[in-house]
Amino acid sequence: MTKSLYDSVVTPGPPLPASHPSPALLAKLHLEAAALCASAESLMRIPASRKNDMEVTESLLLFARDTAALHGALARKWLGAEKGAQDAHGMAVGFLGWAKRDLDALRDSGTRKGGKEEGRDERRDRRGHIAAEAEDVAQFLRYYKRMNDTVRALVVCRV
Amino acid sequence: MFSWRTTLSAHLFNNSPRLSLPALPSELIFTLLTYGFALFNLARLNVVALGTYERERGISDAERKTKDEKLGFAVTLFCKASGLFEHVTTTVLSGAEQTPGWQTGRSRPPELSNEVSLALSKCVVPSLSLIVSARGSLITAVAFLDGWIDLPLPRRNRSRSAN
Repeated sequence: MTKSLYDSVVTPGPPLPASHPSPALLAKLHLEAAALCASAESLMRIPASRKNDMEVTESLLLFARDTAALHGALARKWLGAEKGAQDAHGMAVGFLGWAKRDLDALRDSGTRKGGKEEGRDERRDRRGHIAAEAEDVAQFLRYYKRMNDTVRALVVCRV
Repeated sequence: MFSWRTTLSAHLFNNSPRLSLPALPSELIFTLLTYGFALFNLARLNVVALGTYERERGISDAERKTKDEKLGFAVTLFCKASGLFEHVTTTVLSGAEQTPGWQTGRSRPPELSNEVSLALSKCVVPSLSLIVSARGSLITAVAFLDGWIDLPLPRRNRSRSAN
């Protein structure tokens, strides 16, 4: 068991333990993943506009779009965590609120549709994953909101 | 003549029509893509079967190590699938377009278009990084990603933020 895993299991949520993988790196990974998915979706829409080609099935397009949205939201979550770790609590609250809105929208849209081929278990798994992430984001948001609302005295100069 | 069902095309009633395709390259492409789908499904099943073991508290060290190894195996499967789709795009499809009588004047299934196989290879990568960042085993992840995918981060930047 690595130290970072141990720390995050024993004390989950903010503030992040020092051994946690850097939130900036996680945010970059998620941003890259979101960009890949978005470009994959637009690539898959190309055949529909050509005369001789068959269209790509709707469930694959939905998969790409949902994955892009999920990674975008997670990227905002880690950007918020990064800002919070740098003591920029206002920006952290902004990013985390944005991430939470996105995740909630994604969860609500997940209940409405979903590919026909996707089994019930898989749909439940995906929804559970989104709900767990939303809960995590809410925890971060509460913490940094409290920090942001608290008045703190800074020592400007020491005599 | 080779006959394949197009699983990726949108069709009324989702019945994936069976097409007869001329030319040997189309057979090769469909076989490779099917192999890629199989790899991807196997990897996904592996990951789902593992569950969220790293969030559990009462788990022994040895057990965790074996599960880590299984996860690593799934990651290599994902990498294989992604590499396969990319190979189809860059090598096989571009070679196929030079064969005489390649798909002239007939409706082309999405599997045989360049963009879709490229899109598939891009779709696989996020599920890789999804596992990776959810699991927190970031060091192995970065090592894997180094070999297979061009991350847009410059190298020194990556090592700084991976501390």
